[in-house]
Amino acid sequence: MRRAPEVLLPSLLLGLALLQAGCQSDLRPWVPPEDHKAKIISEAMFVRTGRGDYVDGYLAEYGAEAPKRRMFMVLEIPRYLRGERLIVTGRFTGDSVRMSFGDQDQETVPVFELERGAPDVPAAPDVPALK
Amino acid sequence: MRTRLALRSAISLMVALVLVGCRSGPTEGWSSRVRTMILTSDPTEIVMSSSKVPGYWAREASSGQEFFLHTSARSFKKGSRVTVEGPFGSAYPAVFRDEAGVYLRGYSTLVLVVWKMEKEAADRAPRP
Repeated sequence: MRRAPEVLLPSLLLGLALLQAGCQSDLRPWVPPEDHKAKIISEAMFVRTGRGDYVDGYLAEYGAEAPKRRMFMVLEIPRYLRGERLIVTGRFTGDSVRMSFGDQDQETVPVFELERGAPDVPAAPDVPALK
Repeated sequence: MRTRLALRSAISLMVALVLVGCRSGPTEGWSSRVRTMILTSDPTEIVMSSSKVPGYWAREASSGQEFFLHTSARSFKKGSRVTVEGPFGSAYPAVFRDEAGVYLRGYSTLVLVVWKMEKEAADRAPRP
């Protein structure tokens, strides 16, 4: 009976340590961030995702080939404007948002969690000077 | 026996304090020293733990170190020299840098919680 605290105390401390580690863990597997050139095609929206999260963001299109692919770009400070072109870095979370476009049926749009967004300012063409 | 019990209690308390300390972030900057800052933004906001935090971006006049000054005051303007008091610590908020139109999540910065903020005396004086 006297030894019970000696056994219980380390177990309790180990349990606390594991609990803390568990609370801070992110169960999603790590994937590297992706860079895309994107264009914002909506105003800022507050939507509910398929997993039940409520998020702020914009509908955006990206990709070089036509038709462009769509994504729902999630960010915490929505200050961009419709039509802005951005270079975005982030990750697709595996979550999605159901949206309807015009007369079409609802479409499932993947959620892209933005880590960095910067204006895409095209470099001026290198035009040789007239002689 | 009593010594062992006391030692064990002390160790348990220390471990508990360490665990609490780990969860509550860094403890640097818990001083009420007056700092002179130059505001580098108009009133703006950052987001920490999904909560909007109003304030200003500023640079410390002496070191050039960037801070986010958390305050609900909105009467100050970009470029003002102010004196601030309050504790600060490092944080990784989501920010939008208006000057560049850049959004960054997990931006490493120092956040100072303003207890007192006023225009520096020299800044208040009338200019010829």
